[in-house]
Amino acid sequence: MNIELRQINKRYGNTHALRELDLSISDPVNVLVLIGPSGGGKSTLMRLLGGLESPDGRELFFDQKKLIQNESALLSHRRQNGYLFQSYNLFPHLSAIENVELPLVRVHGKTPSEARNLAEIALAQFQLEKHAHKHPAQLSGGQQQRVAIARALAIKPKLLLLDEPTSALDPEMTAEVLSVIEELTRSGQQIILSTHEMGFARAVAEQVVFLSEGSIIEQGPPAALFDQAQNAQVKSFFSKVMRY
Amino acid sequence: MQKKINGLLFLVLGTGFCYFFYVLLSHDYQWDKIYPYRWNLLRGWGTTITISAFALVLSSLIGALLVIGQLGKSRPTRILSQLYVELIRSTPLLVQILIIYYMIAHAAGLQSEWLVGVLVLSLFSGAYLSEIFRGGIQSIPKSQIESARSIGLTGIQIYRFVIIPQAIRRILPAVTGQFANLIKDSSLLYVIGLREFMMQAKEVNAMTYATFESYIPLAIGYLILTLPLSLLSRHLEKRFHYEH
Ligand SMILES: Nc1ncnc2c1ncn2[C@@H]1O[C@H](COP(=O)(O)OP(=O)(O)OP(=O)(O)O)[C@@H](O)[C@H]1O
Ligand SMILES: [Mg+2]
Repeated sequence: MNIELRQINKRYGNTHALRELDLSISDPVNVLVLIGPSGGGKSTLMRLLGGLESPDGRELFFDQKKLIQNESALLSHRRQNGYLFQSYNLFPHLSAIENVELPLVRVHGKTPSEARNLAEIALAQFQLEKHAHKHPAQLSGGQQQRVAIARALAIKPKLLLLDEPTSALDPEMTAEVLSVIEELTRSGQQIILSTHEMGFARAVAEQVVFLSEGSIIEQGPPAALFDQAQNAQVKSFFSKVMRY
Repeated sequence: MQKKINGLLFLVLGTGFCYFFYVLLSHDYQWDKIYPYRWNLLRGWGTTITISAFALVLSSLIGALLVIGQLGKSRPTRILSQLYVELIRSTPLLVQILIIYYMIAHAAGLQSEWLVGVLVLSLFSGAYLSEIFRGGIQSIPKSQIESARSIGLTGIQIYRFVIIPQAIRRILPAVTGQFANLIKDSSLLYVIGLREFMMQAKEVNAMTYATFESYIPLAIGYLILTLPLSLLSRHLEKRFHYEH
């Protein structure tokens, strides 16, 4: 992936969620993982990258092209990419397969029968065929997240943004969703993931960014960052989260 | 404590019902007195039904327009819609009927009681419906809108495919309840000389002095219309409750 951010700021009232953030990721990195303490700005950064919100400064580059911060440019940006939130991604009034079909038909101009085909393929990829006609309320949290991943992938997204996709799940369901994500990382899909699962971050990341108080404290390949962190704050974070 | 209240309630309600049925049953009914006027009553009932049916459609339309005005971007429209809703909700229907019929309709040269009846009922009920609609739309969680944005739906599509279908399920019980209210409220239209159900019953009573025989069919006539709606409303409420 090719992403460049220059001096990005994002304020919410008095909260300075991102401060003068610079970030540059280029090929061959395909899997970028954001870690760091709660409130550090991971979700905010993901929302900017996903085109769900605009930064105060306006310097976001994807593939050397500036992402123009107006509604129509952001809309087409959102249309190329997939986004997964922590929970409540699915529409409760639609069945699993209808959830997958909705963007295909309404956003990507597929006919209903094309959409049905693509949706079936996407659901089958995650062993969800049996659940295709259930509504979200009838699915477990892990199944819901897998359907949401299937929905995001069915449109063949350029970039898949996953914001703590397992933090609302119990350990068993977490494992089930993480294994799906792990598979994706091996398929060459471009992914940006924020997570509190350090072991997983280390296993799948090609590049790790440690965010705290709206700034990047440290960045590097996982082995370097996890084993030889330079920064004291990063070291103490690891020693805390790795204790158990 | 709960038990004592239950006991007391049972006693009070039980005595009330017994007295009510005693009065009803001990009356010496002379149905032959009102029999010659049966068609008057039926015609009145028919007028009540048609007026309510037209007002039901028109008030839904008015309610929809008002909610678009209230949630829309234009500030003047928003203020006007809110002002309208507050005015209607803070004055008695009877006062509105009199003002609209004797002042506004006459000034506008509108002489048909039937038309004024439909209009007043629709204007009145439309304000209440718009509040129900607004509540339904605003009850849809932000996470649904976020999710809809993330898959690339436009603002209007978000309403059409995500918010409104979910809101309708939530407000259906309240809307059926409001329709039952509308039917009952139409009984006030006799004050402008509209020959609906209430008016006919009053006239039959005036001609026959058979109060019980005139008003019991009136109550039953309204019950036949509103009871199914109330039951439907309860049923929908329960179903919605289980779905979540
Ligand atoms: N919509 C908002 N309104 C106000 N403040 C916000 C909003 N979104 C985020 N913030 C603030 O911005 C800061 C960064 O939040 P963000 O959600 O990006 O952190 P995070 O790293 O994702 O944390 P977590 O790991 O808990 O998800 C926090 O202080 C948060 O309170
Ligand atoms: Mg977050």
